[in-house]
Amino acid sequence: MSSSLSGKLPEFGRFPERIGAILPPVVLIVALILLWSWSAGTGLLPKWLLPSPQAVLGEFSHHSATLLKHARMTAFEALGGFALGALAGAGGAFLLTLVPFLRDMLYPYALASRAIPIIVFTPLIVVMLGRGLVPIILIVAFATYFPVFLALLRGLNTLNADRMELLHSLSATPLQILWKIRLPSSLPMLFAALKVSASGAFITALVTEWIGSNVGLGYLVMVSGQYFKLATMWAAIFSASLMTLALLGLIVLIERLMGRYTSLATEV
Amino acid sequence: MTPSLAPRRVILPVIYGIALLIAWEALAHSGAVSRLVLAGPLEIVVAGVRNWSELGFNAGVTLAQALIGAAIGNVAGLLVAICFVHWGFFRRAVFPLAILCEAIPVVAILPVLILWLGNGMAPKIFVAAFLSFFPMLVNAYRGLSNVDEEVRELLYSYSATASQMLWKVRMPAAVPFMFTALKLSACSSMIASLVAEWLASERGLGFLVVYYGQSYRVADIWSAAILSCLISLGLYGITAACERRALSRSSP
Repeated sequence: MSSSLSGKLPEFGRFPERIGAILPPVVLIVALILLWSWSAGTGLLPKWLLPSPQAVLGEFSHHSATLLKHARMTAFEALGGFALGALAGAGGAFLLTLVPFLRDMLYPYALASRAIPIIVFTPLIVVMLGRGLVPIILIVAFATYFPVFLALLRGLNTLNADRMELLHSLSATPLQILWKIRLPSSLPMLFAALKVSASGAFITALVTEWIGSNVGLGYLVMVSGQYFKLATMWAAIFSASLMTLALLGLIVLIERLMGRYTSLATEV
Repeated sequence: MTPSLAPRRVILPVIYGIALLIAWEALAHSGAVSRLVLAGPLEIVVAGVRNWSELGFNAGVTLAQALIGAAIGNVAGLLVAICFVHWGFFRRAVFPLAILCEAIPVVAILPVLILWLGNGMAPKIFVAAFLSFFPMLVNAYRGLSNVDEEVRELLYSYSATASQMLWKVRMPAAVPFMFTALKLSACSSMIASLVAEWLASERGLGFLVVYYGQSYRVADIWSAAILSCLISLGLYGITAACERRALSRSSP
């Protein structure tokens, strides 16, 4: 399952090149913030449309306790669901890879599952389980499960025939093949899926809170919007974005650290 | 895993699906799960047929929002990608921001959009467009710049113009990448449209699911949710079928 997020950021080269890669976006961001601040200050941008950046920043310092409470909840839902879904997805992919009977039986369903908008079932799950933490974590887990499961399943089963033959002639056991060939060669696909699911997990958690909870940043965004407390709303949106970026950064870091293992597949 | 049509690869899934439906029906009738929560498949089909006109109208609204949004987002994404290819400075400034924006939970700003654009179709179309825009931008840019160095040199030696380069070389090279983005947006625009209706709306399948949920009409919720899944699957299937046709024609 390839996605835009699997796109590589430009590699940083020598010093002048690095400046060339970093400077333009930074200048653009600073210019946008200045423009925002200026247009809010002169009243060009009405307060009800977009509060000034100072007001949003002020919200972070004045109401940090509230923000933190809601952010902690959203982080717990998103990370818990993400971990649960990723583990279950990986487990399912291994199971289907090692048991051909199950694979033949379930593969069409696995393929169809990627087009199913799991989040639509939120109202049903809320009816079943009530509002609160459990339904949200479950939905986030489902939303994470399918991309990870599909990517890993496809990765584990896209095999280089030469290498398989080599391992066969060395009479390698299925587990050795799994560990030495299948797994390392499927990691790039797995990480692409994890990156998609990471932002997906936060989006799902935030949106599910609209109808499934009365704490969390998604709930805060909705309620402060209804009461026209725009500074609070934007502070909540920025907090959610920062958390998403942090998770994404962590995954990219792990991917880099595991680069050596991933290259095992090409070295055998 | 190539899709070979060995009989067991057809029969096994069909048997599994039928067994699942029977088990579901039995579970719904056994009384082990409250009737307030679980409806059997037969009941769901009956509910779907009974509410057909209501479901059909609301599905049309949701589908229209998703399709308009996806069209706007994909066209805009492609246009920006073409700008990226031609103006390097613009790309260097905007591309990192675009990747950053993609990670931002855009759907979360929906309450803001409802303040700005009202609670009609506009905010839903906006979110669907936004969700389609970034995948198309990133994938199309990757495809458009995925040009063989020798082909580039050849066209340069023919002194081809930039637009000839774009239409004869870059666009065909980008088609497979664009279909990746289109398949993503087939699902995500539908999800955006559905979810956006939860907040402030009087029409659409997403609204219908929440409305039924508030009055505990379980079979009706299931029928609306399953209809959304079928539409989403249909959109994805159509896109995938177009992809197969386009790619089999272009490749020698």
